Amino acid sequence: MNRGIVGSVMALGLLTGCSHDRPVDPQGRHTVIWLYPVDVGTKAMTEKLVAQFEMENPDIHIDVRAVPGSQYQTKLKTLVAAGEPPDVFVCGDVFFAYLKPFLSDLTDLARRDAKEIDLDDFYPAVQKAMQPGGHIYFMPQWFNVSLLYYNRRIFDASHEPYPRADWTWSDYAGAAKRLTKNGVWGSTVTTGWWGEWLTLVHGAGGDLFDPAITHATLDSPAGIQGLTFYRDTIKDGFAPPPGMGPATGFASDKVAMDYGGHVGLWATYRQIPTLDWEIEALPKGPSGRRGGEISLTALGIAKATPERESAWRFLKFMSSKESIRAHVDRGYVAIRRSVAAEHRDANLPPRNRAAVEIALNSAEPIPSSKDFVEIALDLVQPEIDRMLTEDVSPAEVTKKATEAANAFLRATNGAAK
Amino acid sequence: MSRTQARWCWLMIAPATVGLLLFTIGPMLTSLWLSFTDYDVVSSPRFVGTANYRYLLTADPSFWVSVKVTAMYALGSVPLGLFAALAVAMLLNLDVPFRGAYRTLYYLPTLLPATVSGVLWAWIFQPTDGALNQMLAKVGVHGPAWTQSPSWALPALILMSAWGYGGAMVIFLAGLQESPRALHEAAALDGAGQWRRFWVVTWPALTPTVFFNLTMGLIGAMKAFDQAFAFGQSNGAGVGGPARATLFYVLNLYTKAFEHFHMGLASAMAWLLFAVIAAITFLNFRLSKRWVYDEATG
Amino acid sequence: MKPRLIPALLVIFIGLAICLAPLAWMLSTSLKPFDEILKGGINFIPQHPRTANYSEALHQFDFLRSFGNSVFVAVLTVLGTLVSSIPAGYAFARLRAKGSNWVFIGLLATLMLPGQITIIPVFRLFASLGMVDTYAPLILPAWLGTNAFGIFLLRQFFRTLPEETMEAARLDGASEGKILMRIAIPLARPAVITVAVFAFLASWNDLWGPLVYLHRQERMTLPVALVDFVGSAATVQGTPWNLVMAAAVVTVLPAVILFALCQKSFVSGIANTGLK
Repeated sequence: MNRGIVGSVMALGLLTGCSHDRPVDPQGRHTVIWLYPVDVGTKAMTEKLVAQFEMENPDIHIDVRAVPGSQYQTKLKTLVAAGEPPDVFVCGDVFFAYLKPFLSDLTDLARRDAKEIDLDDFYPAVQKAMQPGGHIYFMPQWFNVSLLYYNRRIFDASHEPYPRADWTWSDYAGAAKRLTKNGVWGSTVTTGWWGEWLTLVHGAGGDLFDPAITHATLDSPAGIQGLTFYRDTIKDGFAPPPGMGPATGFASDKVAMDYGGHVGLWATYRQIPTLDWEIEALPKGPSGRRGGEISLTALGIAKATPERESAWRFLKFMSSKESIRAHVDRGYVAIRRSVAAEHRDANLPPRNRAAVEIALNSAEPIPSSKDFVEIALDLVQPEIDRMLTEDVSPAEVTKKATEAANAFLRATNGAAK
Repeated sequence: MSRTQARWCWLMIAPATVGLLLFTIGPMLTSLWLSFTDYDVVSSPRFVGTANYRYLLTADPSFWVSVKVTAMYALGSVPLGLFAALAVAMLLNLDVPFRGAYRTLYYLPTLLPATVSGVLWAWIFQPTDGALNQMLAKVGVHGPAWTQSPSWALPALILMSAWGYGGAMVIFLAGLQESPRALHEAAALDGAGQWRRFWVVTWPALTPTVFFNLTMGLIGAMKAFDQAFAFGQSNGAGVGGPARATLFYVLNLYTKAFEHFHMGLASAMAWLLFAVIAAITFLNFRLSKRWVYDEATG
Repeated sequence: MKPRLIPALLVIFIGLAICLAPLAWMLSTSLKPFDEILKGGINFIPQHPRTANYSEALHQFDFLRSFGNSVFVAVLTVLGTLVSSIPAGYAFARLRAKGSNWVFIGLLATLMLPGQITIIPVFRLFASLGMVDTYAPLILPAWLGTNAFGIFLLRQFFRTLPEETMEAARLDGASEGKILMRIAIPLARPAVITVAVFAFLASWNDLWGPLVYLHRQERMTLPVALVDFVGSAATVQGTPWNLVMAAAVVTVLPAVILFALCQKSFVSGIANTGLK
């Protein structure tokens, strides 16, 4: 019994010692905690950048806390909810609206150091996305816009002219249908998230919500038109049904086009030397809009951090020209125009960089509702899944999705903001 | 004397008592209260009466779907698993040599955590590269898009669950071996055939074990989470997908609680689940008087 | 062996083949190089077996560290379970105290409880103690007798001990504590082993707890690491199933080894639970 008691007390002592305080750096430096989503592709680059920052700023230590990428949002929210937010975390994308209450408003710092960060060096569309409501809450490292990818070898084999920037939906659908033969698919449909169907809804002139986000507008004629086109890519047979296409999609060299792929795919496709790929802007929908979205990968600072100045120095570094150059070398697109002009990756595909500018200028921002992700994924997506696999009509799907979204908005609009 | 005994008793059960209060009774009461609030962990809970329950039961599209999915899973996997387990146990109960080895081998799959089974079977059920569809293709059958098909994803999970019923099999086997030999022989001497002997002698003695396995199986199915979560992560259709086909009740709860931080809503879901499990278990116990053979009452 | 058993044996073997085929498939996939997987086809024997899959999986996603984490958590959990469950099981079996029955009934009732019903308040509790992203939430409850199943098993066992032995020791002047340590526990070896193995498996295979409480990648335990790996390891050519299966095999190995060692008492332990 005695040994048991002693053992238990020791273990308990060990465990309570596992509780949380801010880490104290043995060298007395300022410690900035960065919650970082682990990605095998960027690990080396990130480590190098952090090492370089610490070398240039010997009074600051970056405590990189790696979290599995697929659970980043959950973990971040849990930490925020438990009252222990990291000092620096990733934001600027679709979760910004949710995270805004926890972000420090950086406008004063940005104004003070305006020369150093040189906002005008960023593309106009990026600048706009960087300043929701006129305030700056984060500093970006790279951006993502939706593009049309195409496989030149497949197009050449069928003597099909390449996609052009003035393509419309019918041009796109026509080419895809003609190219679907001999084990090759004309295009692919991405399922499981809002990326493509929302783009098509935009292209038809509609949107998921009204601008004030008081109710869902998916059941408008434009919404139905967009979703009908989405469904028809499978129904008309030029895109494989979910799960039935080549497991690697466009990378398999058996798919002629990828509608809505992001810039982030460049690093991936460049790893396949036999894949002859190129990009173009998304085709215009019936309303004249292309409909693609823009999202930024950026770093923000927690409102309650005791290390705001040190964290801000880290943010400036990570968005500096040097850091952007490292990102370009890693396969990302340059977010600073000056770095883009250096053409560091000019000898790598894609060649049609103009498509990126078009995409930037036609990009639509993500709705700034903190419930957007939940509504899009949990309430709308299941209906769309059914439309794609069980032959439910777009009209019915939009009706159900809109009802569910509205019920949700009603139920939560009484909630505390 | 008995006072010293009482003191020792309380001393020995002290940790368990603290645990019971701290980790079970206290939290149960707290979660009951939370179910009547709107609570996102960041701000304080805000009392909203029965709003959570009303939303779940009338307006939330995912609630009744997840109830249905869980019910279908329970109704599919429990009978299938019990039947398979009983069949195997009966086979092993015959005087086969190396019975112990077979028993161990059949039990092996249950050692796997549900996450590994989920991942393994997601791989086997993969529509284009998975082993199952490839085998079916060899006999000319075009297999469905299992993990990506709303109609086939749940059956896939049910099939997978039967694989893990080794525990029930071992219990059945033990139950069968307790079955009174003398009665069997007497019945055989009386001229009773195999079937009749089973119904009159084996089955009644087996009913307590069937009851136990049924109860545990049902409760387990209603609480299922790990395999659905792992399955969803592996197949790219999103967790609970496609089209909510694998949205188990507890998975729905987890998503609401830890991805969207609707803690009040999730607590309401938890209490509804508890109520259902308690009701079903109670019903199970009640009905058991009808068909479970009790040594004492006959 | 009676000839009429042959059909039965046949069915048993077929059943075993179906049952074990997925495990064999898991093992064989874990030894295949990636292009063999891409080629497809049902080959149980890899053409060019590749053990490098294991070292790759272990290092690429830090599986070695997750393995160590799982061991740490499991060992401390089992220790805590035994420390709190053995005395409790004994007390419920052999000692009388007013009100102790209520505690026992309460513990039994927790067997029917879905863990999800208590998770939110318990999470709040640990969050307020600053213990989120530590192992405390996973280990601490075990030390406070939360393994009701183990307590129940031990109680059943302790009830079978002859009262005379205890009485004799009492008459000799031994306290209840001494009786527990010197007499009861040594006799309880099979039950203790069963409880220890069950507790180990429960902790080793636990997904829910680590999923909710652990954040940093280097703290992850195996089940979470595995699920994460699958969710995020997709490369240009698709999910590296061979590496995933290698990781899965590593995850399962300790349980299989432990089971092989403690088979007899473990299986009889399970068998006995259903009969009482």
